[in-house]
Amino acid sequence: MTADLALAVTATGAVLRPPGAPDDWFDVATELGRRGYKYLPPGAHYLLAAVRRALGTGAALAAEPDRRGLAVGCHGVLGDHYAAADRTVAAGHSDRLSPVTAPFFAVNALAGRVAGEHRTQGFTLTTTSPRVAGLEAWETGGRALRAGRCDVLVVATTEHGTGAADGAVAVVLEDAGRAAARGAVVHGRCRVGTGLVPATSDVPRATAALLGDLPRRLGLPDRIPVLMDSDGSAFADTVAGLVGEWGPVRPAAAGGPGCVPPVLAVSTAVAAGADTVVVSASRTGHVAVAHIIGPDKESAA
Amino acid sequence: MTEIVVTGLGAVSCHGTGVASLRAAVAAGRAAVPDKVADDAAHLGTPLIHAVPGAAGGHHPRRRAAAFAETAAAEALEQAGLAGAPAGRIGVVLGTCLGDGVAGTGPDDVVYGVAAAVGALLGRAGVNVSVSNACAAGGFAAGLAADLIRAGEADVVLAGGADAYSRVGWASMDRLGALDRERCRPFDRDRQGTVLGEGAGVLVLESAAHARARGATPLARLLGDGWSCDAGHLTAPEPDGTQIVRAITGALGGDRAVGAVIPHATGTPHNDRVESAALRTVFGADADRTPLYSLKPLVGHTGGASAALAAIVAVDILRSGSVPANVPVATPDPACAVYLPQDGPTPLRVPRVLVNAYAFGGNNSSTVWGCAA
Repeated sequence: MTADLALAVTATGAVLRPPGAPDDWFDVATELGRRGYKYLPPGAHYLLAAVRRALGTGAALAAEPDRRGLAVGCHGVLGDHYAAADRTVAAGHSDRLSPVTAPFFAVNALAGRVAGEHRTQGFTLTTTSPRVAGLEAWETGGRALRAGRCDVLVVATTEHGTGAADGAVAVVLEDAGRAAARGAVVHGRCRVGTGLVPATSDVPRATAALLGDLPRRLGLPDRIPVLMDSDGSAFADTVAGLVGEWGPVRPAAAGGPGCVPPVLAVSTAVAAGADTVVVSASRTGHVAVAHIIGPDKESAA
Repeated sequence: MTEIVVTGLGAVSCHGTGVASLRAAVAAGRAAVPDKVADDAAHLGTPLIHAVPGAAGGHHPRRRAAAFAETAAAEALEQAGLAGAPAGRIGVVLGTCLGDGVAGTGPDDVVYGVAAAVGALLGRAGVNVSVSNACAAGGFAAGLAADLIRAGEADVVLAGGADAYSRVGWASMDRLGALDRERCRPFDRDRQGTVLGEGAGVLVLESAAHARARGATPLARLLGDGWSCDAGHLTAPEPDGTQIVRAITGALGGDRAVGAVIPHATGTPHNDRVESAALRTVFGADADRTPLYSLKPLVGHTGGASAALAAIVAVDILRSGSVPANVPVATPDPACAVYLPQDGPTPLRVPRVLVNAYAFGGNNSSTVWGCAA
């Protein structure tokens, strides 16, 4: 497995809570329209808007509907909704739940809503590991694309309830050769690997083993700059210490809780256009490594 | 293409812990009687459940699905000869819809910890994927595991799904009118919906070469899988079943012959009709002699576990060469033209079993399982 299996990033979009913005910072009518969206959970609003921004106004995914894939990674995005629904049922009755939001007890309803809006009939996946779910979606969706399950893949993450880190990020991926053949602008290429270091393992040794395996899987060069996405945990500190052997380590700019910061760090690195690695680690032992290859390296693939 | 075999099975259901308890329930062929939800704060119109009995769910309500998954995974590892400290690259792909309780969560609360719990059971670092494609999650988990093995990124993958009682999950299905007030009775003219259940199913999937090298005994093969998405209504399949057909044909590959089908068949009026029609579209006149085995009357709709439990039953069908008798359908629905033998076991004519799994969000997954070579 080498970097030449990295997928081309042909579009990115993000909807992020501005610093200091109030809780009602997202304008549903302006972003999505006046009908059919108002009562959706906020995480659905952000997700739909980020995908629209990635695709551009009125643009469609560059593949037939049954060759389009969607992979959404999220974790606590519907926490507010679940808590409110739980209060309604415990204090009242299930018949007081809104039929509009009731389907969102299944978190993949978020992806289903996007799939409906963009006729994504190849497949949708929803991944849900803590913090790294967005990069987990990138990895599993990307593997599915390479297995021939779709030609174009939207990868997205969305979070609500994190405060400053609320929002969503979306990217569009496809095979680099296909993108070049249709004349698409390639912002960069990226390949992701993830893994878990369980607390039941010999954690220092298992972490070192995983961080030895992931560079081989991703075809990382011997030296490369590292952007570290950390949740501030001791485990993330351990990971940050070990990846120092790969190259100079800087903290990723985004920061904050939830699944958006790691994906935002990757999409920002893609936009920057330089070869980079983004490493994300969670207190739960989840690790993700994203290898970003700048667009000027396309000919080397 | 890399051949993938099944070398271990593990199950937890309302019939208890272990594949043997599930197998005994299938052999008995009697409809399960739902329990009443044991939650005084659950104010529901239809408070029914097929709950897992005993201690399999552990003692913490927020870890119940994870405990089911651990139990099933331990059984599967034992059968595969991988208990203890197994060698090789072992991954985990576990599906769950509700995770470990979905109320009062925030970004730092670990809700979807089912896959990680199985990873903890292994006690070593490795690929660990949590997939939440609702009630089709177990089917997608098998496909994702196949992708991992075929990409050469894992030798062995623990694949399956687990779900447990969640007040919000049960209440939401109740609000959507998706629950039956009597029992789960797919293809019955009087069916009203499903009955949700708890459970877990885990399969050890492995490259045939890896299994051969370590002397493991293959139980069955994963021959193919297909995915699609309706991209339409959030909670109901598209009436024409086009995408369901596409997932089935994708799984079948070039060979449309199967000896049996374990349908998704939730007991929801519209869903059973659409799936029946889709099967007839795929199999044509052969649908009249292709037996269906409808599992949910026995275990309820176990969400992310349902396709994994169905796959375990598919493996048993392949190994026995016989399709079990279905739980009797009191009043067959003439709108569901399916062959549902109820008088006794039916010989398996073709050694391939199709398993369907569908979900909210329009997610469709089909898998095809075959005899061990």
